[in-house]
Amino acid sequence: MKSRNGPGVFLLAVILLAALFTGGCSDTFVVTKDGKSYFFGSKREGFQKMLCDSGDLKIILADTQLPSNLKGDLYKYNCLAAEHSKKKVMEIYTSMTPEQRRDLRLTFQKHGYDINYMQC
Amino acid sequence: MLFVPLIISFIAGPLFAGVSGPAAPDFTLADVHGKKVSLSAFRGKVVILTFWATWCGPCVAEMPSLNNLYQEFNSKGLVVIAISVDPTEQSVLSFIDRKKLAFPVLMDKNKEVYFDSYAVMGLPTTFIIDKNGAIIEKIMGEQEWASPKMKEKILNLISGR
Repeated sequence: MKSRNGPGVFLLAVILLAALFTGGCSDTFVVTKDGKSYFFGSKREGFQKMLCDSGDLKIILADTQLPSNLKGDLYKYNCLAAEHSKKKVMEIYTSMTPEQRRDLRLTFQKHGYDINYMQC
Repeated sequence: MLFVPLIISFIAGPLFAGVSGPAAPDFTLADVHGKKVSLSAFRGKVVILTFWATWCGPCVAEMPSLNNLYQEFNSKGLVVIAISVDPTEQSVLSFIDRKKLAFPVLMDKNKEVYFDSYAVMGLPTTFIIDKNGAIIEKIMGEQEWASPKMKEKILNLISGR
């Protein structure tokens, strides 16, 4: 039996591969643990389970030296459904000092996560 | 409101090309051969600082045109510094050899410059730094570096216009 979708499927595959090559790896603002990666600030269930429901983000933030308002905002915009905002998380990240970002990165790593790095 | 200046200077950087921005954070990293290189050593030159990785398709795609731009303008005062966030030197060395990259490639395995100092959120991300060490543009994504428009921009920066 011949497939009538041959050229269409081929074209779709080419488009998907081109998209992957040109832009699929470019966004690295993710948190990773045990081979699972989610965009920081993601609304996906996996992200919520891994960082929010597990209590890990709360523990990680408590372990940093970040100001309490910054800890509260990072938790709120990542984990509270009503306040959830990836855009706000990114704004906080860029507004932090290099020392604060270093503190956050090292604390994530201390707790078995990697942050802002995705190899695809 | 606190984020407005950051959005202007970093996220919307290309809209304000040519306007001096914040000072580029200095750093010292080892190149792929272990030699230490500091950004501050290039004060007085125009610097294109790009963050990349060998596994990043758009980064790999733009490297030849960046290399061409560097080779054409290096003697006129352009420096290109590529900071790799690859976990090892091996794949980077192989890529440099294959593509015959002429500019220095530094290693940032721990992402100290990439994450802590420059708050990079995607690859490739490139900063254009003027002769006074100020960031004048942040570019996210692949570029055609050897285009006439880019060459004109770089020449204007080198000549201080």
